[in-house]
Amino acid sequence: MRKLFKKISAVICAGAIACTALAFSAFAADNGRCVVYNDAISDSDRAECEKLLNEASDGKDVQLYVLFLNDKTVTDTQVKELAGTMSNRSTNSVAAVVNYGTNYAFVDAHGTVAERITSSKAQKIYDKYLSSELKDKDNVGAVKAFIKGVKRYNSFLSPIVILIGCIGFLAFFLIFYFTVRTKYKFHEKPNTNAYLEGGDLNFGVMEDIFVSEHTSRTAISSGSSGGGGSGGSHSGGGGHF
Amino acid sequence: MPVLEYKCPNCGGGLELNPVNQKMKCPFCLSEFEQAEIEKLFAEQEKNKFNTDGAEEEEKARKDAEFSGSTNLYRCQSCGAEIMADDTTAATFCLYCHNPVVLSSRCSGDMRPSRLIPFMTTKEQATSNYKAWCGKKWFVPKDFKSIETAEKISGVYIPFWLADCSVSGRVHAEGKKIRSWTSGNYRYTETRIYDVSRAADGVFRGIPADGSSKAEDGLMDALEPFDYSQLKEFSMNYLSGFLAERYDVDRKDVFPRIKSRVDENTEALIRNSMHYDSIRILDKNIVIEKTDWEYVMMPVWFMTYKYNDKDYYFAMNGETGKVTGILPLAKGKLFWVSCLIGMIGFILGIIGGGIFL
Repeated sequence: MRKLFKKISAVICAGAIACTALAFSAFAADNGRCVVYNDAISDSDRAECEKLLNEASDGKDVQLYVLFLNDKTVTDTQVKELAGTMSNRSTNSVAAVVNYGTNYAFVDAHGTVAERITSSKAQKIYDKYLSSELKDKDNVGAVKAFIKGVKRYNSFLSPIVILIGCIGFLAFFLIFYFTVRTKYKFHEKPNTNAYLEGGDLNFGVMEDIFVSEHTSRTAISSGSSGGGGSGGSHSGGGGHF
Repeated sequence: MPVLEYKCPNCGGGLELNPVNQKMKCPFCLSEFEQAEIEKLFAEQEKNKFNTDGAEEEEKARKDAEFSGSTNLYRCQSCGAEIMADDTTAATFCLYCHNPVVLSSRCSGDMRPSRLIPFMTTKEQATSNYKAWCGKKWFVPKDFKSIETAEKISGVYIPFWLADCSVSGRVHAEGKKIRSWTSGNYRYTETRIYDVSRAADGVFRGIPADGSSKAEDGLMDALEPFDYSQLKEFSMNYLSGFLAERYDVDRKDVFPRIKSRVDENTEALIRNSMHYDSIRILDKNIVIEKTDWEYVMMPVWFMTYKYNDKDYYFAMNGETGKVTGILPLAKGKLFWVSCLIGMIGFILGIIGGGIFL
């Protein structure tokens, strides 16, 4: 009986995998940049998203793709795999897969762009740009945010990085300028002690009278911290919204 | 007004003091003489002059004094040219024949220093010390470092007041000793408070303060210390070949500078005797009970440099060779180098920002 149960389970699993594989091949077969499965988004949204992705990708080094699903049976791991499959469509691309069935999305970068958009940055694209739009079910907004996030992290000289550079410039400039100016200012003081006979004063009175004593007590507090991450030829990040 | 010129007995050239061996040297025939020898010879010459045409000389001196009293003009005994000097110049050079001239009346009576430290370093040493000193300074204008500028260094005897001060000080303070330790989840801090009293006295000997309004006070202070064991009885011989100034800042005017130094040092020494983690002075009374003064001259190699309408100074202690100065700063050069350094900061910021964001 157990053996029979195992066999049936194996058949069901194989069927599920085959179905997923078929589904994956269906996505791969779709040549559009915005791929929709199970009517996850409306046709008008799809058209708008396609237009936006084309504008952001045509003639550019980095190609962008988005896949919308609405399937509760597709697990988070499968979403990650789907994102990998999507980003493999070009040699240098970033793909976002959104599954409304499980409220999970994942961003994957492939090729040289993965060196700039590392896993931590892909995670930031999701956290800072995608997640809030997805929570509001704003598909076009999500695609716009995805494009914005990719541009932000794909560019080495983002406004924040430039700002940090300027702060570095100002700090180095001011420290050096004022250090030199201070060095060139005249501030030598003569040593009057050298003229004191015997090198010290003659002390006639040296009184130290104890007046009072008090002791205070403060509780010692403690804290903790943690974190970490990794990357490869593919990099990615995502989460539930 | 009487003008002294020590003449070479061999060729008649003006004699100058050689700081290396303290002998009088003729820069023309290179003869060298002991100072005592020249003093004796000079005294004999003056005596002979007085005996032959004393009345005539006296009248001439009176007229000179009248003339110079109002105009500060002197007559060079070598070439007859008129030398113009300001109120405080005590020794200078004739602009025409470059013979050293000592304006003896500027160093007589109350204006006569009791002692002086003769120059012990040469102009060559001063020049080379100057070059070594400003050679390492990147942001000094190029022409400040030039040979032409270095050659403007002059040996000047600066008037100094030396003050011997008997001081007594009394300080009343609150001292705290703080001890901390940890036990269990608590940190304990024990504070012990003491009432602290100190009374002390002492004698400061020979605190110097320049008596020339032309010399920058801070710069002169920075030339300290002078080695007082080298102080000699004042003689006009020592001034020959150098510039010299008489004092125009009286001892009562330099007293506040001396008092401030004595007060600060006395308080610091008394505070040093209080071994506490923190001290709060409640009351203090530092009194200079007695001050004795001595008027002396100190040797200083000196140079003034004008840059962007502002005066900058180089000075070297003519006895010890200690160097100091107020340096001009080439602000344009500093700005561009700072920009370059700033660019390094920019690049590091970009790299750091790119990696961590």
